Amino acid sequence: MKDIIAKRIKSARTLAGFSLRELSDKMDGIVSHNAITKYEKGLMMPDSKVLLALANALNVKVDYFFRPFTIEVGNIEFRKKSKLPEKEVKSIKEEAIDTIARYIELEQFLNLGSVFENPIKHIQIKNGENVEIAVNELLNSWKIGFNALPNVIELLEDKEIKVIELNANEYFDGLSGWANNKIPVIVINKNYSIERKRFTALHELGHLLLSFDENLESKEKERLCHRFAGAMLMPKDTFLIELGTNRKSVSITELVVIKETYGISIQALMARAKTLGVITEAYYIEFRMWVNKAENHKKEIGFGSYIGREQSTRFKQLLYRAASEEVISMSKAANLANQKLATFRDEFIQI
Amino acid sequence: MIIVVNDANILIDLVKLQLLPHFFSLPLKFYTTDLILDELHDWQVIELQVYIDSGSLTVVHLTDRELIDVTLLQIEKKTIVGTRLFCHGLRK
Repeated sequence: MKDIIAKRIKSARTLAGFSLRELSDKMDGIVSHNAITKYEKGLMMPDSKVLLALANALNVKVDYFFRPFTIEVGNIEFRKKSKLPEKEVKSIKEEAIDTIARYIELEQFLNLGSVFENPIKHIQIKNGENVEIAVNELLNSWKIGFNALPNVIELLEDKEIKVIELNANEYFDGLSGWANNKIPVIVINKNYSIERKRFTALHELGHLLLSFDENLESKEKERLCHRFAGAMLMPKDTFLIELGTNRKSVSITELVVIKETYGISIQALMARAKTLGVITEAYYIEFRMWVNKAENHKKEIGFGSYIGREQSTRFKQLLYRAASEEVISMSKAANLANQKLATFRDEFIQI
Repeated sequence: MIIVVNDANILIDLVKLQLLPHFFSLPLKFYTTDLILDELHDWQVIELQVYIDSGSLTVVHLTDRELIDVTLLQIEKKTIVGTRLFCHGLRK
């Protein structure tokens, strides 16, 4: 048991991104950084006073320190900018693993264990054409048609994929992996625009579902996952109907209308137009120059927005259901939500 | 007679229903832990402070050994949260 508490203290500190000294300072010196080292090595145990101070400084609940490690996330594909510090990478991984563990624990209480099946596992991906075929087969298999996807996150959650939104640094895009080798997990940045969230979630889906040829380099896999995301948002045939097969020029105004309907950014639309040969390479370069000319062009501020909602809600929905049906106590629900009981009760309204 | 308040919901309800004066005027000794109090909002703890100061409610801090005992119990009884079990240890 000492081992669990020791490891938990260390993982909570990693999650918060504090050094030993920073944590000691944050606790107003109640304990020295040497004492924290001893806690993390299991050489000493904190009492309840210290444990509370640790929990408050590290922004976790006390129960976190006693939770056994039940989840391992493997094959993690991490998408980030190189500017994202290593400390933040570790923190994001810790938070993702903790959130997944709470999510799976909640499903276990509700007897919701599921087996995920990948409908496009048999398609070997060597090039972009294979990706287009895989997307069409996936859309057919999932019976979602070829029109705009109203809510990507909800769709993925309905298909037994855990989607987690983290409040992360702008340099973090997303990650995907498999919890305990069988549960697909996608983590995205909560702070991104709705179009970017949709694209990133589908890019990560590509990493989970595509069976890449083993000779492909990781850069090529990234490119193919981009194509997968673009194709999911606008399958080839749909794209060619909307934009035409061959265009000499495209207006931004036209792209804004498509963006608002399909929830795909102007930049992703133009990249897809180039990939599908609708526009020339030279015209695409001209477009990239327009993008780089101004910050609002790059962030597409003032150039429309998808009229829809993208939010991961399933976890909270299950939590309220479990609390309402009294499958778990209110205190347990608060712990799974990583909230104080009083805060959870403020938002939970029972009929 | 000693009463251990082992569920933060009780304290939250007592504050919400403005029943604290009645509750603590009962001829009983009340105990809880610092971990239970931590489940309350600060303003709720402030409402309780007068009873803590007067000795009507004793807030117990657990030692490292007691924490381990309670944690082992938590593994046994999976659906109960740690903070409640800390009071279970206290009752014993």
